[in-house]
Formats: sequence, structure tokens, C-alpha cells
Amino acid sequence: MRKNKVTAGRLGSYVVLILVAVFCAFPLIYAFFGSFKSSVEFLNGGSNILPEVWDFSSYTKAWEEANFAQYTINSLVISGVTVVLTLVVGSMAAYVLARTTFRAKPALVAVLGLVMFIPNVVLIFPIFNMCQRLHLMGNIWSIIITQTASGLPFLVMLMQSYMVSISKEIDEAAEMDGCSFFRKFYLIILPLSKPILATVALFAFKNAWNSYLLPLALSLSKPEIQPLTVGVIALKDMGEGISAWNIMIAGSVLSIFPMVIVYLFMNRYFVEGLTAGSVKG
Amino acid sequence: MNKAVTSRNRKRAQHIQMFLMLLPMLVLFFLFCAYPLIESVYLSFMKYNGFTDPVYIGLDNYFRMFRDGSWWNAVLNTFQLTVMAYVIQIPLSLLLAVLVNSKIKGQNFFRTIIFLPNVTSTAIIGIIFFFMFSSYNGIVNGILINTGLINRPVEWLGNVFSAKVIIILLNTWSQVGYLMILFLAAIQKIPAELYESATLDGASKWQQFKNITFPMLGQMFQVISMMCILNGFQLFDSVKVLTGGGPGNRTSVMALYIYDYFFNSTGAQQGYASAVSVCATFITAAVGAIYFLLTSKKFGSDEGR
Amino acid sequence: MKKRIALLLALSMSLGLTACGGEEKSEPESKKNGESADKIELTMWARASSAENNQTITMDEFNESQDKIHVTVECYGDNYEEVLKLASQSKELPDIFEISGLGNPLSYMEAGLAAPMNDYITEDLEAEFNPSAFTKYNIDGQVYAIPHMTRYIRAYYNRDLFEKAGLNPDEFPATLEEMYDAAKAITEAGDGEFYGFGLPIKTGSTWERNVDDIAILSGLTGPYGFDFTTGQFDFAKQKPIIEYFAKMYKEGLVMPGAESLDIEVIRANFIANKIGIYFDGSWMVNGYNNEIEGGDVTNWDVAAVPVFEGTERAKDYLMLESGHCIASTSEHPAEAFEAINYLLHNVYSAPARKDASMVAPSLSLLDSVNEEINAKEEVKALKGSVGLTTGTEELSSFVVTPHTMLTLEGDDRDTVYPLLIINSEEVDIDAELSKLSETYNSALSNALDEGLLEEADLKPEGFDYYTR
Repeated sequence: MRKNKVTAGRLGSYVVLILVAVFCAFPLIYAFFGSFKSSVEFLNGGSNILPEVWDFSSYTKAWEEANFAQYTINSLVISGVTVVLTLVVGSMAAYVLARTTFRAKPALVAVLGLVMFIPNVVLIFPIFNMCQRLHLMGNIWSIIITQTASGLPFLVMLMQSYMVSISKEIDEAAEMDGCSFFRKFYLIILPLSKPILATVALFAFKNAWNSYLLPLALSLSKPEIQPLTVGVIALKDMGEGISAWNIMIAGSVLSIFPMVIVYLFMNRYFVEGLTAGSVKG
Repeated sequence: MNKAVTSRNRKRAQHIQMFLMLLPMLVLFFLFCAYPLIESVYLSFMKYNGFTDPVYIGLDNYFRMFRDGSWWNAVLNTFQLTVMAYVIQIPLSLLLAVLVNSKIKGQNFFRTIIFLPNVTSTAIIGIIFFFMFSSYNGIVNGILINTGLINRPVEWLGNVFSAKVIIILLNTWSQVGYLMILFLAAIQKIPAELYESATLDGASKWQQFKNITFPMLGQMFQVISMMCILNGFQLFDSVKVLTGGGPGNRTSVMALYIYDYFFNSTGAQQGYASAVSVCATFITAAVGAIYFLLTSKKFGSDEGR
Repeated sequence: MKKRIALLLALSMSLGLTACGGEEKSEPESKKNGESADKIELTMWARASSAENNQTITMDEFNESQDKIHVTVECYGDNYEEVLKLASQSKELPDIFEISGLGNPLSYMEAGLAAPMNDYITEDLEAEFNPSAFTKYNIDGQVYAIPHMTRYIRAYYNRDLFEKAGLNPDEFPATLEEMYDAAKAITEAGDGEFYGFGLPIKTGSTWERNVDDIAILSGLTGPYGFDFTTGQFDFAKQKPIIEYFAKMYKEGLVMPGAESLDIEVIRANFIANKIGIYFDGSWMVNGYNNEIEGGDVTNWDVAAVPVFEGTERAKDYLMLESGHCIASTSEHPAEAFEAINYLLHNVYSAPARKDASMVAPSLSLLDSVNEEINAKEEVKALKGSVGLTTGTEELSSFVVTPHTMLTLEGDDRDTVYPLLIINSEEVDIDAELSKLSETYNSALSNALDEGLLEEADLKPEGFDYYTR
């Protein structure tokens, strides 16, 4: 009797998991195969997932006519530089927060936490103005810097909680040898923090690559700096009508799949970093 | 005496380094978080159309906001969608975490696939969902018609209720893996001996969950729930891409409502949009605060069992 | 240690420098053409979404036709208004900018962003144009722009579908009641394959095209429900028309999915033989003949928009749109006007000169141009041109369109009307229309107080919808 119960329970588990897995994979599979359908077949609908005839023209059209080469480059630049900035600025700040105490510190940490509660869209217009004052408007740096700034609160806290768990004895030993504050950070803590840095890099990259609202607002005047997310969706509102749908699907696949592939290879860092950081924090 | 001077100098050097290392983040934070927030509040008392000078009008924007039925409808929608999302996502992700954690084959595979949606852009996936649920040539209607389940195409996104369902579906698709991983992390911290002794005592899986797993999640449950709620309040990408707030503005949410007033409207509306933004911030912060207060008593500190 | 900090600072500084450098790089591109130092370089911003639009073609011709001025056109698509707003804030306006797709065009002129054109409008020029050309963008006697696009609404229908439904394709329904019957017949003949009517509920301009047009033809209200006989907004007068469409929607005569899709989709489906009738602008004759795939294959035609039985029919509503402003920051206003003048005279025929297959009927504000183009055989032979008018006398515009000057506090019409059609059973249409009128009227009195509108314009003496 016991055995039946266990097997039924096991079976139930598998069913649920498989259903959810299918649900998760379906839109991506649909998009992937749909992008290879010819324009006519895609627009006619029906219930086929696989294309009748494999047609690569959506991709060539997207790349050549719809400026996707530029969008891809922009996405790469934005995401890459955001990662670098986040790691540099964030790790230093995290170290200071982890290893020092000063009067304003609790307030600062609290403010960083609270900032995550502000809906992004609330700040968009003033950020607009700020970029104008700094003469960044229309420059790809406006997107890079604001993207970095928006991700810092969460990622700094992630790094900080990791660094806090590194034993202070190492610090003290280094200090005995005459290491300055910065050197302790650079020579000791930073190398030890590699796992969390990898995770932060991946998250910063993912958030920058997938970001929509911020680059949308900051690139309205300059299509040359739009990343893929904005570029793909902009096609929807263009006067091209539904003839643009198959380019959009190809563009969507172009936009999603690099991230998917990175994830599949670096799966470990995403998951472990989240768990390490979150449980301690 | 030399030693004292050196150590004082050293201390000063340390402090300077600390400050310099913290500075970039502070600068970014000030420029792009703090100052914009202050400017938002400032503009909320003005009438401003984006290019001529702002005009002071006191609390007029706030009075108008109180009378604005569509804004409160958007707020209501936000609450409604967040609750719907929470009710579906938290139990589901918790269940998945328990299942993935149990001794089944393919643990890694399931974990990978279920988290996969989280690395995609919500806006892009919104487009894909838009195509999938399109009335006359979407694949969902295509499959439903071909299998004979329905006769006439269903207008998924044209009907307010079903549009909200699709929005929740998209949000769930994207978030459930993320929440699952967080729960998984918390569950894996629970010592295995507890489960072993419970099984020896004859406790069923459900009893084990109720009496061991759930209570020991403790503060993590609170934090994860908070993230789910926050995510619901910040809904923008999915709604904008799927319905644009329509039909009319019946599916609008707070973030989209504010965005439309900032960027799409005619006339001098930036001041009003700022006032509405301030209100939205208050609402979100209030919800967060109330949630923490209510649940802190229940979950106490991390050590509570 | 100090070295490291210095390194970091140096790194960030150099990154900053490259940022500035990057911006300068893109500037000289617009100066690439026309290197001769004497040429006056002008920039023009247009709303078009593709680079091969009429304005660019015309300006290219202009550049070739003379050596003094060179105009570079930049197109910004649907984000045009945002771009313009940003530019006005930072005072980085081009020499010429198009007024198209802007919610409140006169506000830009009121804000001093446009330079008046009166100095450049000679008497000869004035005589050439239809008088309404100088009244649309006129503030205190100063003309800030001249509209170059004229549009009116027609019913587009599919002859094949008419035949399939047993209707005579040469006789388009003359009354709305008959059109309802036609739509019903087509939907029944279609049985899910095609539908009688297409109503793009998501697009904002739908209401102007479908509801306003009938209201104007029936002498009920002007555009956007503004009643020139009372000087107030009165949306309740449009109620019978709204209920008409709501009825068609409820009975399934309207193509499904329209709530979430827009006019482009309707057009695509019309060409795909899925829609029997829909309303669209006169310019789509050009669109279907020359631009949209399949437009030359499908058997479509154009007819006048019907009114309710027993209603006296007024003149069609002539919509004056677009136009160009000279920016007040421009250093060469006279030359800018020259370019605009050339465009006004040539924008209709230019595409055809470039590519003989792109003939289109013309309805500009220059009657001379109209006569010349519309008399051509190729134009007369175009599908659908039979249903168009050939001169501006059969159409009439309104001097003032108050709704463009308002700052609304509450939902606008484009938000409310979709619900009246879709949720017609749950919504109290009278209450909604009266609330809408109130919203618009209170904004109207604000505009009057601020001097943006004149009472005399809103309630002209002896105004009659039928004799305007």
C-alpha cells in the first residue's frame, strides 16, 4: 500500500514538473520555429509550430533593412559596459559597506533598500532632465549610466552580504602585513569574491540586455542608440503594419537567444549566486 | 611619537580610501535616484508642458488626482493583478521548489528549464505572447479551433478580463522560476535529519511540509513574498506590450498610467504626471511597509522555529 | 595603492572623453553633401517612417533644381512628437519642422518656436491658394505654417465580396441603414471567412474617420463632437452614430480582434479579402495602388460615406493636415520658406516623376496643381479614383478645431469611445457622453480664459453646417 502511494506521488510530481517545463519552453519554441516561417505562413496562423518551408528571409530582412545590426551592437555595448561599471563601482561600495561602520551607514543601507520600492517609471522624466543637464541626451552613455545606477542597490547588497561572510581574520592578517584598505580589497577580498562577482556580472548583463523602459525613454530621439528590446518593439508601431510581424519574430529570437545560450552554459552561476546572496541577506 | 603620527596618517589614508571607494556609487545614486525623486516632488506642484517654464499651482494637481477616476482604476488594476499574481505564483513556485528538491530524476534539467524564462526580456516575450494570442492568426486560437474546442476565434486581448489573465500568465511565466530558485535555496538549508526523523515517525509528505518546511522557511518566505508583490506593483513592460492599457484604459496599471501622461499626452501634463508619480511611490512604499509589519509578527526573526 | 586610484580615475576620464568624442562624430554627416561653402544648409524634420517618403523625394528634387540651398530631411516615425519636444527644450531645433502627428500644434507656435511666414507670402502666392490654407495655423494674423496635406473620408469596399453576398458592386449603399444590411449580408455569406465591416477600435483616429465624419455630413457636430452652433462640446449628439456601430459590433458584423489591433491590420485584411466595407482616408487610394502589397490585385472600390435615411447631406469634411514651420531659431528663414514653397507646389507630383508607376490623385490647396494632376489619364485610370472628388469646392473645412488646444483633465474621447462600442450593454452611454462633454467643456473654458481660443471663433455668426 505504501509503495503505491509513493509511486503515485512520484508520478504526480513528474506530471506537474513536466507540464510546467512545457509551459516554460513553449513560447520560446514557438518563437524560434516561427521565425523560420515565411511571412505568408506566419501571418496565416493555423496550429502548426514547425514551418512548412524553412525560410531565412526574416532574419536577412531584419539584419539589413530593419537595422538590427545596429541594435545588436548597441545591446552588446550597453550590456558590456554596464557590467564593467557595475563591477567596479559596486564591488568597491560593497566592500566599504561590508567592512566599515560609520554613523550614516544604517541610514544609507536603509535608503538603498527603500529605493527598490520606487517604481522605475516615476523617475524616468527627471532622469531625462538630468541626462540633458549632463549633456548626455542622445548618447549611448545615458543608457549605460542610468542602467548601472538602477541595478546598483540590489547588486551592491548582494555583494555586500557575500563579503560580510568572508572571515575577518584574513583582513586582520593582511593588515598586520601592512596592507592599506584599498589593497586589502584589491588583493584579498576581490579574488575571494569571484563567485559572487560572476553572478553579479551575469545579472547586470541580463538586466541591461533585457531592459526596456529605460532605454525606450532615453533613445526616443536617436534610433542609432536603441538596443534590441526597443528596436524590436518599435517595429510594432511603425507604419509597416503587420508586414513587420515576421521581422519582429526574427528580431525577438535574435534578442532572446544569446541570453538563453549564455544562461544554459553558465547556469550554475546564476542559480548559485542567487541562493548564496539571498539566504545570507 | 613617530609611531602615533604614522598611525594617525594611516587612519586618515584609510578613511580617504574608504570615501573614494564609496563615492562613485553615491554620485550615481544621487544623480539618478535621489535628485530625480526630489525633482519629481518639485514638479508635482507645477503645471509644466515639457518645454515652456513650469508654473506654480500648489496642490491643484493633487486635488485633480483625487477626482481622477481613471487613475484610481489603474491603482485598482495594479492591486488586482498583484493579488492574482501572488495567489498563483507563490504557491506554485513553492510547490515546484519542493518537487525539484525531492528525489526525482532530472532535478537539474527541470531547475534549468523552469528558471530559463527569467533570463528573457519581459517586453520581448510580451510581443511573442501578443502573436500567440492574436485573435485571427494566433497559434493558441489556431490549436483550439483545430482541435474543435471552440468555433469562433477568442479575442484574448480585446476583453478586459481575459487580457488581465494573459498579463498574469506572462508575469507568472517569467517569475515563477526566479521565485522557485529562491525557495529552493531556503529549503536546502533545512537540515535533512528533521525530515528523516519525521518519516520514521510516520509523517506524510503533506504533514512534513506543513510542520517542518513551511515554518522553517521563516523570514525567507516573507522576503520572497515581498519580491513577488513588488514585481506586481512595478508591472509595466508586459501591460504596455500586450494591451497598451486597453481597451480604452481598462487594463492600465499605475506605471503605465504615469508613463502615458509623461510621454503620450497632449498639453501641459508633466506636472500632473509627477503628482501621480509621488502618489504611486507612496502607495508602493505603504504596501511594503504594511506587509512587513503584518508579517514580522508571524515570522519573527530568522531563528524562530 | 595611490597608483590604483589614479588608474581608475584615468580610466573613467578617458571613458568620459570617448563619450564626448562619439557625439561629435555624427555631426559632420549632414554636411557631407554639398561641400561648397556658399550653399546654405538646412535641416528638415519629418514624421514619415520610411526614408522613401514624398517629402524626401521632393526635397531631393529641390536640391537638384538649384544650387543655392541644400535641404537634408530626417525622418522620425511615430516618436516624432517626443523628438520635437526634446529638441525644443534644448533649443536644438532644425530649420524646418513638419507639424504632423502633434497633439497640440498651436502650442508650439504659441511657445515661440516657429517664425511667422507673412513676410514671404507674396500676393501672387496668396492668390494661388485656397483661402483655408492661411487660416489653419494663424495666430493673431500671423501665419506660422501652411498645411500641405488634405484629406477626406471615403468608404472602401470589396467588389468581390459584394457579389458573393448578392449585392450590386456598382451601387454602394446610400444610407447607413442600407450599409448595415449590406454588412449583415456579407457577414452571413462569409460564415467566418470574411466579415462585413472593419472597425479598428484601438486606433485613436478611428473615431474621427468613422463617427465624426458621419456627424459632420449629417450636420450634427463638427470634429470631435464640437457643436459650432452652441460653441460647446456636445458628444450626446453623436449618440445615434455610436449606437449604430455598437449594434454592428454586438451582432458580430465587425471583424473580430479589432479591439486590440489597429488600422494597419484592417487595411491588410481588407486587401486579403476578409473585410467587406470600412472607412478610410482619401489618401489610401494612393496607398493601395502604389504601396500596399496586393492592392493592385484585390478588387476594391471607393464610395461616399452614407448618412442616416432622411438626413440632409452636408459637404464632406475636409481635413487640413500637416504643414511645415520655420523654426524661430533658424538662421535662414527666407531660404527655408523657399524650400517649403517648393514642397507645397511639388509634393504631390514628385513621386510620379521619380517613378512613373507611382501616380496618385492630388488634392492640395493649390487648385492649379489639382487640375493639372487629376486631368492625367493615368490618374483617372487608377482604381478607386472614380469615388474621389476632384476639386476642393465640394469639401469644406472648419476654421478652428478647438479640441487641439485643450489640456484635458480626465479621459479623452479616444479612451471612452472604445468602451461604448465594446461594452455597450454594461455602460450607460448617456452618462458617459455627458461626462465626456463636461471634461472637454471645462478644458474649453480654461483655454478661453488663457486666451488660447476666441469666443467668436467658437460660435461664428450665422454658422450653418450646410453652408459653411
